[in-house]
Amino acid sequence: MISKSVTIPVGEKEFVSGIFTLPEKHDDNK
Amino acid sequence: MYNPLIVFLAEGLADAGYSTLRFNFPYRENGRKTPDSQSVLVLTWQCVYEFFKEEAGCRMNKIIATGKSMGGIVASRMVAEGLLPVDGLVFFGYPLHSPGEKERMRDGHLYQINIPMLFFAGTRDPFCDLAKLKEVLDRLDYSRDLVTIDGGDHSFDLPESAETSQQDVYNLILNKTVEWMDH
Repeated sequence: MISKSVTIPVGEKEFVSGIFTLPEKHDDNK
Repeated sequence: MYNPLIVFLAEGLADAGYSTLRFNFPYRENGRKTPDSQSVLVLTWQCVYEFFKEEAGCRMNKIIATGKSMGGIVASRMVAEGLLPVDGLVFFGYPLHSPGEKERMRDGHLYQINIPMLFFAGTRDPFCDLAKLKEVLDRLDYSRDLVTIDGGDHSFDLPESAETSQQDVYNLILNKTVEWMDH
């Protein structure tokens, strides 16, 4: 499992936090 | 975003082969208690959807929008209006009505949705009378499933007297979600 924090742009000025949680092999995700 | 159930589900879904992206709405991000306007909530969902598609780095067979309470109802309204092109919806506590206001239900848009839906509902949820929810689901034309959590409140928390553990409840919710998504 891979966890990755990200910042997601919302409109022109706003940003929100996000966290991806991905399988170890996520190139062929379900 | 750091709700214990949401974190558990994200990690469990990853173990089952699903990528997830959980996020805050702007009002939570900025420490405000009052939710953003509907337009900001909708814009946030749309931006997160696009970000997920572009940045997850994987081939996707389907995208499922899930939400706990308000996040779920916003997503479902967007699907009904054609604003969120996902393949399914999962509700971890659908706020069918405000506590004590069972006659003012938030169900009108659900009848416009034509993708599969999975509802989790606690039997002690003051925001979702179970009999009312079942009436609504019986009227839906499209595929829908309901999993009830005995003793669960709006967050599926159990009373101290419960014989089941909180972890058992979380495991049930994860397993049913994976089973539904795999189907």
